[in-house]
Amino acid sequence: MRRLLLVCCLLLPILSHAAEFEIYQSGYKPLQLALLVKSASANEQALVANVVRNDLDSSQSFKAMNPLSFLDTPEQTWAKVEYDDWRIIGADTLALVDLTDTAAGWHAEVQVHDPFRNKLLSTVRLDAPHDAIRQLAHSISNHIYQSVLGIPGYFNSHVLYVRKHGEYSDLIYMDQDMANQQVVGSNFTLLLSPDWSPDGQVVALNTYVGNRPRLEFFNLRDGSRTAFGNFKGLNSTPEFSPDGRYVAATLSYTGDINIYIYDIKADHWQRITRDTAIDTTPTWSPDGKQIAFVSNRTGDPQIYRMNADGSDVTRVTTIGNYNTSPVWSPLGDRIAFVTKKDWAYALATVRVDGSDIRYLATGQQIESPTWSPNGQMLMYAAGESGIRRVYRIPAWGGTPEAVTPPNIDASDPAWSRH
Amino acid sequence: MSPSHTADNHYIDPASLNRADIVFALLLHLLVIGIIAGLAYWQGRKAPEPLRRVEVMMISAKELAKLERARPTLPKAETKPELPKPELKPEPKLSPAKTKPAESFDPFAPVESSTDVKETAKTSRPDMADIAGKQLSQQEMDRYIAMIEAAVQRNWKVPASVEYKQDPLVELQLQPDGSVATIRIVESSGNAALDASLIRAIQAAAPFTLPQQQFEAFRDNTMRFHPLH
Repeated sequence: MRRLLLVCCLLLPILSHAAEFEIYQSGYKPLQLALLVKSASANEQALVANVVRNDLDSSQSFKAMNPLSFLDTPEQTWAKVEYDDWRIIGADTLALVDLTDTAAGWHAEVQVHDPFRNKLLSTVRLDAPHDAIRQLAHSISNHIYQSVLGIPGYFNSHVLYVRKHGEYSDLIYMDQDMANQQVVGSNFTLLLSPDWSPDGQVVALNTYVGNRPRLEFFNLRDGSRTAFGNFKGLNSTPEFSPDGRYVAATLSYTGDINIYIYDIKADHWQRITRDTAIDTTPTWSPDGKQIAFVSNRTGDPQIYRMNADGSDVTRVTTIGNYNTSPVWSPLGDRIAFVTKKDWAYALATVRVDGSDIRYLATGQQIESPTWSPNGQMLMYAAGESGIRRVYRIPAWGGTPEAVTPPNIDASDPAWSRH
Repeated sequence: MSPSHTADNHYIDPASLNRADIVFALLLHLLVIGIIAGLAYWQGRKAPEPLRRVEVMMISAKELAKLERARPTLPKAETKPELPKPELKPEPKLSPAKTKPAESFDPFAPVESSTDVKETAKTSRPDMADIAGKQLSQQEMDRYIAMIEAAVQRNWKVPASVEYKQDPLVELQLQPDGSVATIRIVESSGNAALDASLIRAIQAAAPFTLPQQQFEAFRDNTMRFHPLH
């Protein structure tokens, strides 16, 4: 019996002549999204549909379809999903939203379907107060995004950027979709590299008082400013540690430009690098155990990483002679940075071991990359003929999209951590 | 043609033509004229085919099922006036889209190829298919493989960069008409969203064009997907 089985097994590959195919991914393509929002209130229905469509479109992982191509109405689809009808028009993802106005606020029931697998991927109920319908829409976007991609969405996050006018700079706050723009701090004499605290309450930033740079905490709630780094020489590029207990920054009061860590609770600075070369722009790994930074210790600015106590310094970038502005991805696997490629500045990411550089965008003047909380998107500032604008691009490639208008000088974007 | 060049045996002296030759030539001309006139007359008698308007519209699967259910009862519907369903009204307008008028000739229809899969392919026995299949050259087989690969690749949408463990392998069984019988992920990429994209790619690319005689070679297939790193 066993011998027979063995013979069968040996014969099997000869008898079966299966065709073998090799399929290679050529790039990233968005999924066609069919979004159906049902509501008794036409205004809110349109608002939610627009916000969700805009969110998911802007991620470049989805492409919202024109509702005119739909074969079924929202009512029919809520009664029964005919997967064939969505497949035939090419909908990769079908999202159903039922929005109802209750005494307590807005209530949304969301279903996400995969027509090509005849499958309900997820269903969720969301509630929001009456004045928070945009947040509710962003939560719906998050839910659709996560159901399909298996990655948390970032659509309820916020962005800070610096608007410069003449001698002065303002700190502007906005939702990640550019809505709800507010001036939260105004008339700074220079305002550089703002960074959100992990709880989203405080911003660490580099400003100038007179001609002297200093580091300040800016409280987003009440607008109060507290100086915490006010030494002779440079005080720049602050970044909160992931647990919010420390700030890493660059100081030069000893004469050498080095990385220091500030313990917020103890109000104490500790020197981390002891090189005579310029060490600047520290950025924390998401586990808080390592810090990447720029150093010109070999002659050119290159990116290095080390343990948070300053030990075990390893060079990350090895290609080119200009690699600056590192920002560690919240996923931990990559570092975004600014480099030069073909005589232009470029935004790129690299694995933390220095391999697999991905060039994302080039331009005359590219600076200040910042990651979305889920590590899928990047924002950066790029200048064109003197005016800088903030752009957004997927971390895996795609097309840069401007998120600030062309009539203001916008720079130093900082994406909130949640 | 100058006479100096015609002094060979192709030159026919008009004097040498006898009566029979002239009669033959005349008859031949008459015959040709007659055929042309006859054809013209026949063509004129045939009524010109009126231009037809074919409306095509996409309808939902539910509507289609409803129409198909309704179709067998249609002839009786005329005799039963108690069943005037308003939803049957679109039927005359929609039917041209789905029922091909058999008598019409479509000049734009692709020329049928012997290797195209037709409905009749379902009746072909596997052993016969194999014997006949030997007629396809390796080059032609490769062409079908390349076409299927290109179709799946075109429809493979990876919407974001994701972490995965290995290049996934999919087992794909096809029907003789090129539609998908089963899809099974044999070796997962380790990422559920990426695995889902493979199934979408195959379903969106189907039905595939398969060689009728050699369908057996495409019944059981494996597809190795190579995502970008």
